[in-house]
Amino acid sequence: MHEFEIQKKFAEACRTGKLDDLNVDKERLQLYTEIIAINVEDALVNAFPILNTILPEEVWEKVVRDFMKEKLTTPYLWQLPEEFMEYILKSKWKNALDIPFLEDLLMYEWLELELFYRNEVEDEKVFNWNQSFDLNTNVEIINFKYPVHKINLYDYDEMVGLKGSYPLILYRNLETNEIEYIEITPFLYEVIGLIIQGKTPLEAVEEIASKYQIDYMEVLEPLEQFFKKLTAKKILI
Amino acid sequence: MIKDAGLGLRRSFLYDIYDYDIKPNWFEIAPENWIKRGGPILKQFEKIRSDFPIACHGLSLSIGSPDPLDFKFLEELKQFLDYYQIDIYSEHLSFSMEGGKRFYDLLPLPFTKNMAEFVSEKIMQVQDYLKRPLILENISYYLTLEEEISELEFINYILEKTGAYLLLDVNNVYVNAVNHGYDPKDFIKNIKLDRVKYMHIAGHLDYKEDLLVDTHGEKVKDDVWDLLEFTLDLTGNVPVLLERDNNIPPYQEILEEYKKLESIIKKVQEKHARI
Ligand SMILES: [Fe+2]
Repeated sequence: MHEFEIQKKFAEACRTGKLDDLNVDKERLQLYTEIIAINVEDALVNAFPILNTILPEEVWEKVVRDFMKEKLTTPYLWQLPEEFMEYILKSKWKNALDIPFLEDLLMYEWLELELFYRNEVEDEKVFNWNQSFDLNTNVEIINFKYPVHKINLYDYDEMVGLKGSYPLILYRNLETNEIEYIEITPFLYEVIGLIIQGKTPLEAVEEIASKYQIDYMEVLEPLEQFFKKLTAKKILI
Repeated sequence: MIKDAGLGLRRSFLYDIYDYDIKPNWFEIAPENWIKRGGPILKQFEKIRSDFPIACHGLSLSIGSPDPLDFKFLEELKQFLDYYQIDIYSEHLSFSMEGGKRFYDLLPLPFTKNMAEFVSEKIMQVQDYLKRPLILENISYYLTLEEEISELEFINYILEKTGAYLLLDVNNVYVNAVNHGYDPKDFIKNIKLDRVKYMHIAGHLDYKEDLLVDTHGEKVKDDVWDLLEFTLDLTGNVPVLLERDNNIPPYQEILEEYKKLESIIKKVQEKHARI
């Protein structure tokens, strides 16, 4: 059907912003290309405001334009930022952008948005050393290489210099609905990792304590306070 | 059941609607904004759903794409409509995807017999799958890609062939009439008014003298209110929805426009009751 060819050319012009292939009023064609680019860009700036300010405007626009040419497959506009994140990390842009903390930043900005829309399990569990627990569905546990969750405290070079290990619990506070984080130690990150895999808190602490050459009996009491806080906030359920 | 005036539900006033005595009769939502979402916002939506009739007005079906239908999306859509027991599902007579890549905007179709035939087949597939009639909106557009038949003939042919209903967007008729140089009243008189399930009214932007842009970000223009009254006079009692998607003012201001819509509907109803 020759109509498909017209549609394809029109679509291509909308994606690329190049107007020459189609025999129509260029000004009106340009209106389409602008409206479409603005829609996509608004969604991405809204999701990644920090990345947007870090990148020079012309770079940002190139990335977005490439993304428009190659992706935009989800039927849900709210999912587009996630597609953008995956696109950047799998394309030449990952290296070309040359931001050491790019991956962490993308993930942090996306989760800040996405966690707000997650359902949670509402029942609270009482903490017990010998029971199994899980992370609630409104929670992510994550180990950043850069402290992107505190990006407003540092300038670019400082952030690059802070390369290390920054384990966090990132969650939607069920009382305020704000997205919050709890910084945890690498030790606790590993303990919680084992708990999620099905070990009881006691088993998990024993295993990781021996790895860190700590006497686990000595840490049980402060850890119990911490775990009770997590169950009270329904982070562990 | 949707009846009389309704309002497009927006995030910005999701928590305001219970604070005012005037309450819209029904709301319209874009299902794409709610499918696979959760958290506090969805809880509020569910409360509203339990208190008001809801119509779904989709964005991503892309019925006129050269692409095959996206059945994964259709499955998620059907689940959503079934779960919230929503019977009214409208979409746009346009395309918004090509080669699997989307635009999140509505692009016009070439107005040809082949295209009308092709779109009709897809509409019937969707109706079959969703077990609901499709309600198709006349979009606003700035470019005519091809015009073997007129837009009017194109729409009427598809409605006739598929049994689908029409969501008549009065503002879009007005915008297109200016942009493509035809008489909006003629268009309305000649479109299949017996297939109109409901109507839309919205604002547009005067971009240039001969080019209006359908922004849904302005107040409804007086000429468009007049055209609505003209249309209601012909259709009789058909529900009308006020759309405001961008540049959204405080809820109280939207309610003022909503009240204006109600008064126009009422005026026409009273007139019809007398004759
Ligand atoms: Fe509309």
